[in-house]
Amino acid sequence: MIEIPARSYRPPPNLVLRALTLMVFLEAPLKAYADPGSGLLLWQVAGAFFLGAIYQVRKFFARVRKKK
Amino acid sequence: MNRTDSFRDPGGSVRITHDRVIRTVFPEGEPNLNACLDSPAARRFVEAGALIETLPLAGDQVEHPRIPFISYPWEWPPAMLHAAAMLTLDLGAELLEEGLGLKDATPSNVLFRGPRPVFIDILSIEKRDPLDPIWLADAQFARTFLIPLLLNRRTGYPIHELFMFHRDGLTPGETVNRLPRLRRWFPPDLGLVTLPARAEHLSGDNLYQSRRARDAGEARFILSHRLQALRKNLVRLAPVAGASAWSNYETACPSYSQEQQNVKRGFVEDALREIKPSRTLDVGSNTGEFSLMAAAAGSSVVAIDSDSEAVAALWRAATAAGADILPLVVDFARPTPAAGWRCQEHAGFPERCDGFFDCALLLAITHHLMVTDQIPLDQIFAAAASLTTRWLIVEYIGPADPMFHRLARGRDAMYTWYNRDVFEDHARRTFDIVRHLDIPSSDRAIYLLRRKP
Repeated sequence: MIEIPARSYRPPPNLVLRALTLMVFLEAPLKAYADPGSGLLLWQVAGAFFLGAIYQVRKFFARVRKKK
Repeated sequence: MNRTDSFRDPGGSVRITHDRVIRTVFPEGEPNLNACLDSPAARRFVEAGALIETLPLAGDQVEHPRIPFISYPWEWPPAMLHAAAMLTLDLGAELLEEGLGLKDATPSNVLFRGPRPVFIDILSIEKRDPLDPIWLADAQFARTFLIPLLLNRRTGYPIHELFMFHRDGLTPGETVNRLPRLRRWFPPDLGLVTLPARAEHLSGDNLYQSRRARDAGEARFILSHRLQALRKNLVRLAPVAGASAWSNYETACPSYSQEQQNVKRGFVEDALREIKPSRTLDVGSNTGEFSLMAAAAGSSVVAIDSDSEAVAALWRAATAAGADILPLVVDFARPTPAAGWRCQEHAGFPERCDGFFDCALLLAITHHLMVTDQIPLDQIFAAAASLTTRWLIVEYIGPADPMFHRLARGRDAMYTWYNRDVFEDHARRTFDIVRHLDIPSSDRAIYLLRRKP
């Protein structure tokens, strides 16, 4: 009988998504009632990061325009 | 019967009796109840009939009006799931303006009053942390609304079957390999399924920490854009009205001439006008010609058919006409079983029908039950008697009928015993024949029956 060596599956690291997770400021454990998911939550957090950046950039330019 | 129909929410539970719905609110749910009762947006939805009314009782209880007939997502066609999703998003967006939100987003929060969706889970409404930019129910909304609608659009997967076995929908990981290989790399499939499925491997404990924006304006900006993105996806995934074997049957009806159809319509219309049923069950309703007729006669109608496209067509027609019709995907020969925790959480279809209807319509269905589903005639009449407390309008379709012959597929010899006399003998065991009418030049007849006391 041929024995196949056991091998644990390791997904290829997605560096961009990992970096995004680390860049988001972390606080207390969240209080979720519905299952917040994993990939979908990560995807939403990544989107929130970009939207937050857009908001801050817009705010910055709004402040600059106001000073002028 | 008494049944605790909702017990998962730590904020409260719901008990439904035959005419009352009492919600007990636990201390944990009190802030949410107050948020709902004080919300102008919630009041607007109540006035529009889209959010269930709430009457505070003494102590920790509130009462809601009873939605006449409870239905479940595993009985809805995609169009009804889409309407429930749109209501959930509309409510979520309006609440956001008041600093409130929905703590969950599942089809179980919605019931249908006639063809109109009603949001029923008031304890789902909660006060939000103004600095929190994440909607934690987002993933549940995707799993239970967007992904099933996407899968249905791409592959025709029957949504009602999905929910029978997947209470909380499908995750991206469970879905990605079911999507067409090329299509999964384009929006909305890419952002909804493919990338989140890949990201499932990357999530760690860090993911489950609450996040705070730098100010409330930023959090609201992020959330409102997120809800807009979900709405955009939902609009793109709106089910397209399609044709099926039966949804075109009434217009291209091969078994009836115009004259024969008029005779049948006239009989049913006269009977409905005479008996004035308050609640009618239309079995095998197809696109609902007779359901609409019963609703026009003042009856509250539940219409069932196993063909999802036909049910969706009736839902659209009833919505457009404002008719009191609840169309459901239910196969009468294999009705929705009891489901959920210990099979006691959600009643099966026969249990919900028990003593509810005073009239049942079994038009052009008995031959399908006898031939396709091989149900004996005495069983068919026993089932009919359990569906109605009083009236039954039933159509006899004999072996000489072309549709009967088509369904028999060469097995006509099995039904040589079947004729009008046998049909009437079986009917008389549980019903009195009030009157009947032969459909001219056919082996069909239509009967008005009254249940024996």
